[in-house]
Amino acid sequence: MGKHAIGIDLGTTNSCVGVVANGVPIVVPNQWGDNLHASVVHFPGGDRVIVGNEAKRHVILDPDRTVWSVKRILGRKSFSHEVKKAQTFCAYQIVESENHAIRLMIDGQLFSPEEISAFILREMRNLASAYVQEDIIDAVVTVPAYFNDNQRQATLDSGRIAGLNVLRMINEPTAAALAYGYGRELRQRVAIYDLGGGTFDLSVMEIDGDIFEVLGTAGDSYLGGDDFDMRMTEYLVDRYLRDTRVDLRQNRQSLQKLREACEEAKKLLSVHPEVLVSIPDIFVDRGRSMSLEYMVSQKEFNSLVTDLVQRTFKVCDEALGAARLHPRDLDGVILVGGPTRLPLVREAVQYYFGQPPNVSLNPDEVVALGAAIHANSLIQSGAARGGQIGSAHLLDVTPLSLQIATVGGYTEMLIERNTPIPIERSRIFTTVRDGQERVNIRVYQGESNREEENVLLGYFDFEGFRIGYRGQARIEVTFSIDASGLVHVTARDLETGLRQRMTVALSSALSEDEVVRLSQRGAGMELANG
Amino acid sequence: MDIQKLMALASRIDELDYYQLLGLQRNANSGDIRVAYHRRARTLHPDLFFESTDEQLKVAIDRVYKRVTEAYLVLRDDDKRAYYNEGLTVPQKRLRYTDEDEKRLRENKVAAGGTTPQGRKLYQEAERLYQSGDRVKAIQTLRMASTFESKNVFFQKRLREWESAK
Repeated sequence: MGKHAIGIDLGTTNSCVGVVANGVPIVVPNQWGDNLHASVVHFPGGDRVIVGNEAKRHVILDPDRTVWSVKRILGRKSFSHEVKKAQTFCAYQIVESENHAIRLMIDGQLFSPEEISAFILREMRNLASAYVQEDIIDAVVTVPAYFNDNQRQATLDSGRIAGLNVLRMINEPTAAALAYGYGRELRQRVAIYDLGGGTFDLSVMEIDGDIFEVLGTAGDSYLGGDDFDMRMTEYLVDRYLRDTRVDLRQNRQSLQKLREACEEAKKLLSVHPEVLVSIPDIFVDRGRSMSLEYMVSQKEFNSLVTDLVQRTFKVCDEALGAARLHPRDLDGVILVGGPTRLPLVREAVQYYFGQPPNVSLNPDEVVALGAAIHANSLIQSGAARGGQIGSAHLLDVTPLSLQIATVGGYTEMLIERNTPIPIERSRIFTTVRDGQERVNIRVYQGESNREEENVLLGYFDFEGFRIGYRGQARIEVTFSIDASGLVHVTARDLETGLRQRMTVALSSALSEDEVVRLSQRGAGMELANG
Repeated sequence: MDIQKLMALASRIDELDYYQLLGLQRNANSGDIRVAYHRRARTLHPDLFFESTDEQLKVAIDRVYKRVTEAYLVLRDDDKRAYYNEGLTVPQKRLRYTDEDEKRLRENKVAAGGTTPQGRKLYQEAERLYQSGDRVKAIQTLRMASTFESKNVFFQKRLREWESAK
């Protein structure tokens, strides 16, 4: 165990790494002084990889070999909506592999989303290692609060492939609250409004000195700043089509150029009333280069995204409902994520909560700082006797209900969402036929009582119990959710007290061998500076 | 908390009810319960022993702390707590709120108010009679409702309450 441990905010559009150095939590810059690093991975050919802001330039120039927003498809199955959507605008191929997992085809090589994320994590690790001059392997990695078990497992596997010892995964809003309240002896109830590049989370928290308790959380994993850019892009594509009869949708490169210009314009609209979107050579028509030039006002932009902002407040209602609180019961609102810089978002948040949000924290860096603080207190725990150190305690909850399939396509709730973690609940299963040799359990996460409307976590098969009449075998299955929000399943034969043999299928977790293999392949690639 | 005390607590965890585990009086209010949960987190959270190499200790602390969250989960919820409290009064004390209990509580909630049109109507009438002070007629009406829903545990429970009320 080294002296340092890092906190990594692995974001949809940008990532950030923090470390506690000489007792002070800081964000680690790259050699050009950037604190934020684009979550983009570029494969220039050979065994080279470029990660970060340098890689981002290649999104337009070399889209076939440049991966961005991989977090949107991390831990998702090939049949999911997000993967289908990604397939429509990614220049590289997304192919199905076994167990409905997905792989990205780049230059004839297949990469899993976990491997792509691992390149980003490895870059973060390298930056921090160079900064403190120690080869760091211990890390806390943050995830959106609303991430399900498959997505968390995939994030953990990414960390393992990157050669990290992932001490813990913590929820982004919880990390932000820690950075906000650490060492300040606060007694407050706050809402963390976390609008990231691809996800939105709202956590209601009680800060009681060194205790950071999540009272309720809710989220939307299909809503983020990317969607704002997309709205503006679509709007300008339509306008361009009307004005020039050229459909930019037919050309991926043009579309990509416009999307990036819109992302920049969105950021500028946070401070300017109107912004010029100008792309000199957006399209080449029979040898003639065409340009695009449009003025977009804040008002115009706001009308394009108002409904997206409103959608966040449905989520707020849900989280507050779970915490049994009203917006006026809160002592503060903390903004997290780049898109919360938009005046429209700030005004809407102020209106909803009846108070101006706290803008004293850097919304891009606060999550990495919180993760670094937590990582540091975890590795320091060995040095002190239990309960004697000034560490903070994160008391989080599970964002989604854990369910098991019953009969006829229905599911039954086992652990309700917003249950504090770590927790375990047991249920007794039995055979339904004489001579039955195997008991099968399908585990889901979600809020519906229908199988197909929830997310499948895995199939579990139990066998090896005494075969007899139906109902004779009694198997106690224990479902636990650990402090990282990961689901574990164990089974015990109540007759013999023996742990049951169990096979898990369709789970997203990679095998140990697979991780070692991918880790070696990743380490064999030269990580060029980005 | 020192390690010996912790191991001792882990070994007798199945003998403690949730109030004992959290150090609470039976009449604790929701604020007390939250404070108690925070107090236990400060001394029993597994993160305090994150770097320990003592695997036995780690298993023990994990077991203890998961029980603390379980106690908090049950006591902070009025319905679960009421059901749990009942389990503490019966001769075969139920110290833990199990998945079976949760199932029964849910069935009760579904059953509350009746599951058949006649049952529902009669139950509402019975409640009205009881509120207006006519206990005898209320009991008769609820018995009638029970003939439509013989398995409705909520009706049976309400009947017992009314019959034992003075």
